[in-house]
Amino acid sequence: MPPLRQPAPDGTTTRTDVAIELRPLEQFTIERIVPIHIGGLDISYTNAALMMTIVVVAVTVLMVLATRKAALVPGRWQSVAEMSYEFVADMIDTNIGHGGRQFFPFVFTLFMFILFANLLGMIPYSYTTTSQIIVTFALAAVVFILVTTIGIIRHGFHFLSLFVPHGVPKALLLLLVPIELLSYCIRPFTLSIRLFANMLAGHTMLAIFGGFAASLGILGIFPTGINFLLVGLELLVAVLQAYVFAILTCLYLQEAIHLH
Amino acid sequence: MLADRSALQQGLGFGFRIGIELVVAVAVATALGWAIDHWLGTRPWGMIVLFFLGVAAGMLNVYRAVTGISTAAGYRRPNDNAAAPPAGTGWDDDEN
Repeated sequence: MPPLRQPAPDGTTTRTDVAIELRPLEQFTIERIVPIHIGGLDISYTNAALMMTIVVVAVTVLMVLATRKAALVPGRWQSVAEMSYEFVADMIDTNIGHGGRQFFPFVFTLFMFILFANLLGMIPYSYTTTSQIIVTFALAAVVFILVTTIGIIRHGFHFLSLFVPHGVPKALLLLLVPIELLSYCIRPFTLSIRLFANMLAGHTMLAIFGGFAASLGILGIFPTGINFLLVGLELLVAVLQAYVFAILTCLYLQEAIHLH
Repeated sequence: MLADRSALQQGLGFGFRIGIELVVAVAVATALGWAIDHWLGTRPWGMIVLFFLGVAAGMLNVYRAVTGISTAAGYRRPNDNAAAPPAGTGWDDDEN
């Protein structure tokens, strides 16, 4: 991107000329930290991978430390761990019903990973891994494959009845089965794009208003104020998107386990 | 207060959920149609057909999300097999 304004021909610069170039998308750049190339495959350890490692370590440390000395009256950290446990357990009980608890580890891991990735991404100069579509799509694909596999294992051939709406005239099935099939296959896309788009849009918006604040001089107080509110909104979105991802996983699992 | 907050949370989560459903369904289905055309040389029919299927699938997804995933049309009720889904949203309806 070229600078917003060229310096004056005589080489002097006015106040706005030194302004920060607006590069709201620069924050999503992937940089190789440890380049690794194996057989033409680029599997370098990048800043995104580093952030994911940090997320996994952070979740693990929180859960291990919080439950190390399980007190009857929980301390601060133990409360956090217990609250998140109960939150996910409750979500599974209401949305999957009986037979759902065996998927607790999966849903809990997914929820905590996305939640921490979203929240740690809110720290300035860190990296939001969930703003990369390939990361969210990988997560969604895992959910999709797991749900489909479980459905086929549990119900075998009968699983295909998922695509045949009940109580419909035979002639209409010709039209409805493709629609059902399509609406099923679209799930990993909606699941991943929802999370990715929300994080990408939010962080881009923050960067744009931050750029305004830097380039407007004294008037920059207004975009700064907006950014102040936006950070609050983004924190809400970070938690909500993790919640939405987890609850949809529960709903899909419920469908695969109980059919309909 | 606590009940209020959890209701708000659920409502917000719900809003965020269905907002993108329609758009993505149409986009993905159309892209798929384009790919099929490219592959089989049936331009433009695959794209046209899949566009409309995508619209239908997106609407179906939104409709099911709004009415509750197990009470929407086309879903078998556990106790009565007739159509006519009752109003109300309850995912756990088929547990009773």
